[in-house]
Amino acid sequence: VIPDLPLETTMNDYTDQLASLRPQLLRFAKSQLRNEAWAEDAVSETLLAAIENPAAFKGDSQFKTWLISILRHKVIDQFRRHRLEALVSTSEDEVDFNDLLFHADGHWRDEPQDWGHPEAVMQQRQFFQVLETCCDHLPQAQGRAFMMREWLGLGTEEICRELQVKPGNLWVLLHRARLRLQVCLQESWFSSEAPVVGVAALRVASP
Amino acid sequence: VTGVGTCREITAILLAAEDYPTSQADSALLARHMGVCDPCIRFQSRVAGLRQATDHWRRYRDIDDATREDAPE
Repeated sequence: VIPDLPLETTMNDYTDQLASLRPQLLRFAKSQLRNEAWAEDAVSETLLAAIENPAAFKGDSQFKTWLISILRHKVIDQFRRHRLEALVSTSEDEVDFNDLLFHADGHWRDEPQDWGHPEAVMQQRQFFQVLETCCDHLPQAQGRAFMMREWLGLGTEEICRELQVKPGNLWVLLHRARLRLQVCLQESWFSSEAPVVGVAALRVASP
Repeated sequence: VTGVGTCREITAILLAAEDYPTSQADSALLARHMGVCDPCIRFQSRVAGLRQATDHWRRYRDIDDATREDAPE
């Protein structure tokens, strides 16, 4: 029995419904895993789990939300499976924005501007599209580390343990990711009269 | 070392605090620095703003955006 579906719903309808959600699940997985094949595997395993055990859906949340909760676990499984390569830095990961932001003596080159009241910004859907674009343009290892922390909600010790990465390396990845996001949001949203999704973020991603 | 640290050091402490506990020594340095540096106070509030935005975005995306019919590829 699948509680949120009409009684006459057949297994075929159920699998059709799952198939229709596949593109959204894939997009979600890709944004975290940043690897087409890993994302495909995570989504396939999610759909398989949903087909094998439809009764696990309790109906106390949206069907899609239930699938995403399964997908989170499958994404973590993928990171575990590919632990040796998941957080290997690319050359882009090695670029240090600190040198762009600070003089050699450690003082600001350009002082950070005030972002005003975040509450007002968060009423705007376009702001989140800019934030998403900034995250998508983080270098590979930084982006994965950031998404593991923020989306999968993993602790730093857990990430180090699961992916066998040294604490100092993870510290650097997260530090650089958060600094880049600060710069990207400033460039793409807060200092822009008419923010254009993507364009400024791309520029910031390649200083 | 000036006793109040540099802005570069302070931003590193502020960003690390998003993922790690802040040591007593760093907290003390932060307090001293913030007493004399307006730009770093603004940066601190930006870090809080990004935290707020990320929390908001995660909820919005889980429930809505990730499942939008017209979600861009």
